[in-house]
Amino acid sequence: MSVLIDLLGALMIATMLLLMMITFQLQLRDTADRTIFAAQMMTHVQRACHDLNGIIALAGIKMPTDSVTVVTADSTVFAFRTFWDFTDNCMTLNANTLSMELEADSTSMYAPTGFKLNIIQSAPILELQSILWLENLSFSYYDINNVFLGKQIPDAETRKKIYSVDVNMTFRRDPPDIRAVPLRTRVQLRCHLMNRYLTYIP
Amino acid sequence: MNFMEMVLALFAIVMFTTISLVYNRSMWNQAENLDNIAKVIQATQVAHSKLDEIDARLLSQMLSFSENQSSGTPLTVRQAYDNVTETIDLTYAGYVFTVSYNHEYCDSLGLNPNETYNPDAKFIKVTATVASNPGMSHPVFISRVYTKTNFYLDY
Repeated sequence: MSVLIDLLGALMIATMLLLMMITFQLQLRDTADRTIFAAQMMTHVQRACHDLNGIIALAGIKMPTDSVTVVTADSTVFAFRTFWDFTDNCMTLNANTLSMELEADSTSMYAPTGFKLNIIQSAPILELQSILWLENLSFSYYDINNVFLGKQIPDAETRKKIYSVDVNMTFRRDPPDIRAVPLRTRVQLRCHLMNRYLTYIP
Repeated sequence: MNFMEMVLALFAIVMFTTISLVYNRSMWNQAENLDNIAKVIQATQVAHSKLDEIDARLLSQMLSFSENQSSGTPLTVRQAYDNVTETIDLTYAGYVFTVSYNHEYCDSLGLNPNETYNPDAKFIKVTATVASNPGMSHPVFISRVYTKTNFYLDY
């Protein structure tokens, strides 16, 4: 009888240990999946920041100092004029208008996992549409001395004073494990309109 | 249960507790790494943005490249950014960073740093160090070499 109880006890302990090890392994795998996933997400965020900074820096190319370079300065839409043609990657004779805003169509295929950033020059520029998984996008505007001008600037004379833009972005992606909370990353980016600075007359 | 069995049971408890703690710690490390990555990306953007700002201020001649300035003229890069520290409060991202700047003269590759002013200096290296407390395990260092051009204010 005593031997039987010992055997049962040993079996119970062995089962518990086995369960513990299996649980640890599952947790480790889940953490590794999440880490790899988040690392890919961070790469995407960094590339998005780099691309956006590069695009905004080219605003106002060849535009006269006293002209209105920023044509729309809204909290959700930012549009500027430049003689650079993003589609053909060259200078043009006429000014082009580029606008950036979140995709408005909530029925889009991207809606369940966030929106894509639309960069439009008469039509969406396909090669610049790789900024995905955005949950929120907002702009705020600053003058040449980094003084805050506002989030919505309807007045054209005030828009002439815009020299830098804060781009606030929240990226969101559902993690590999559907029961887990979504991964959210907030980034705040200050982009300077370099060509506006270049034509500034002190 | 005799004494020997009790000792064995104690060893078993200690061993399995240790295993649990090691696993637990490794998972916390992963979570901390993720948080650190987000901060490093934001800090990198802050550093690039502040270095862009120097470029922009040079282009708009709000800063001067040369040291031969007279009274009433804009600050030089050295005056504005050598051993200067500022605090950046990013309300949207939820981080507070401290940015420290260091200014040096250098060659075209950013090498041979030299603190002494030379009127013929054509290259300036500004290093931005972004740190947060509490926060990143290591500060982010980014250097940029500015080359003297005709767009810059010179005397």
